[in-house]
Amino acid sequence: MKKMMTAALLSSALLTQATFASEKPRNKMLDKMMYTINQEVKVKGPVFRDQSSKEERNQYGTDMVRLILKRAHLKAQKYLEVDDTQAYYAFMTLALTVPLQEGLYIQYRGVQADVCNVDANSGELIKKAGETTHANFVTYLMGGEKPFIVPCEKIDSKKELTQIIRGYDGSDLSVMQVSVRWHFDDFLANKKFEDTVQTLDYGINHLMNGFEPVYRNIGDYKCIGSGGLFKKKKVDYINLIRGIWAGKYNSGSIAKTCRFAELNSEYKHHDKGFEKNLNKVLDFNGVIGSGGDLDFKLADDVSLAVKEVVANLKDKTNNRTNLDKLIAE
Amino acid sequence: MRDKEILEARLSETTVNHSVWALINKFDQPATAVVTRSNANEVVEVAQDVVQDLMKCLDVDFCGMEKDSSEDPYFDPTGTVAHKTIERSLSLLNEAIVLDPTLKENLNLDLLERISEIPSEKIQSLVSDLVPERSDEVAKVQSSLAKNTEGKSRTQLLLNMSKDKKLDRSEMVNLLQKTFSESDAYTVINVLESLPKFNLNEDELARTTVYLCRFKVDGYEHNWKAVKKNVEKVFADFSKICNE
Repeated sequence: MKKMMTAALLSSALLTQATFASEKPRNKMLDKMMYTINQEVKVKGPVFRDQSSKEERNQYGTDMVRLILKRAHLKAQKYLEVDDTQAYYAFMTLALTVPLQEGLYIQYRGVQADVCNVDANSGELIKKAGETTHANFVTYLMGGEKPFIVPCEKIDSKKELTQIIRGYDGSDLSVMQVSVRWHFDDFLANKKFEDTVQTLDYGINHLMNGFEPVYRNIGDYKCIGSGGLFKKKKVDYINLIRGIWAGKYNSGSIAKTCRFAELNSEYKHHDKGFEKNLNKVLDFNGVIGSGGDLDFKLADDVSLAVKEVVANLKDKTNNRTNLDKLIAE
Repeated sequence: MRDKEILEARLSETTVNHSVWALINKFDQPATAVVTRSNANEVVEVAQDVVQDLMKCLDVDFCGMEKDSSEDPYFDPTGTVAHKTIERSLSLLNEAIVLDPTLKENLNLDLLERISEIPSEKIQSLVSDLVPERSDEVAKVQSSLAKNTEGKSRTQLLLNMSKDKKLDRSEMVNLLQKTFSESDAYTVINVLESLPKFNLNEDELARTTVYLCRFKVDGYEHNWKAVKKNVEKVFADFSKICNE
């Protein structure tokens, strides 16, 4: 699960002017980050339309964050059952940060413009990522009776296109940036990319597969667990969040959990990027995103729920009226 | 070269050309869709050949699997294509045995004993499911699983043992006791989350849970909380055991 390399560029991108009078302005940087989906395929989940009004874009962000909170709660609730609220809120914060870090909170994009990327949709682009990645792309994304991705000549650009976000070289897919090379046996084989909930569940499950073993054997991770013979043992929950992303999610292994704390890590820039997005969540005050027209002002109910998650993590409290209301919907 | 071709270079030509190898690679089809009574025999034979050959290269160099590039940090040492192929082969093997239980006699128990040493919870759980019932023949495999499993695979092994009517119950209880006294916190708490399913009586609970008191003094508060809460779901007197 690699970082979106152009997130920094996108964060300062503004809606560009239309080329033709009939064309609605759109975020042209997103054009470079998408595969165009076969128009015969119906995806499930909120669709981001950068050409829509600010209110509609905010509604998208609200819908996505609402989904994230609900799905993450299902995995994290076991910590509430043993009265471990800190672990619960740490995991919820992690779940809020990762799709922002990986996919700018965007799974699907709806757009009215001739933006199908010929190289991406033909599989030419992904060849640069390696033979296996290309082979998996062809088998799982371009194969079958109703392929998910089709060459651009099969796309009718007069109709609205639906796109799915990808990494710069095409090898990572969806808002959770799941690797096309390594996650073929379940994520690709079972077409989880066709459904935002299944995509979120896959990524959140992957996070938990790192979170639980590290959290329980915390003494093995000096960057997270501290204390010794005569000092009370403590857990640094912020470092736990950073470590799970650095290790399990970005490196593929919990053995790399403390990568973010290594002074000479060759992946320092990855971890700095994640830290920035984590701070966006921790400093949340109603608006969140990767900047410009990719910022989302969340509706009050979701906004209040996010604020509860963050405040409870920071203050070691458990005030969750709004979160509980959201989860129960 | 593609990962599949790299793996095929480590398999025999007979295996690679066999129809079962094609079924193993159809990851979008569940085992129940590709294994039938008519091909079950061949599945048992070829799936074990695949696992045997991949075992040889897994420890050496992950059967040739490498990271995409130095820029990409991602590499899961328990989730390579070789691991996933072994998992898939074991799933098909399991389905073949379900369809035709007589094929159990064709299981290569030495191979299963060796596979159970692979530090992969998924693979170990699949091996455990292949030998759910005690017999003299599978004792070595189960013994290897008891030694090597951790986390979810330890839980799966214990659950299988608790359902095994041919097994002396004391063996399961002894392994539970050993787990509580020696295993890491992740393994212990994973097992405790399934504690109600073991149907332990009061005596068994008292005998085994006393070994959990170490988490009160040795470990982190969050682990002790999880231990306590999970045990108290089935054993209200646990607090007395550790002088709480």
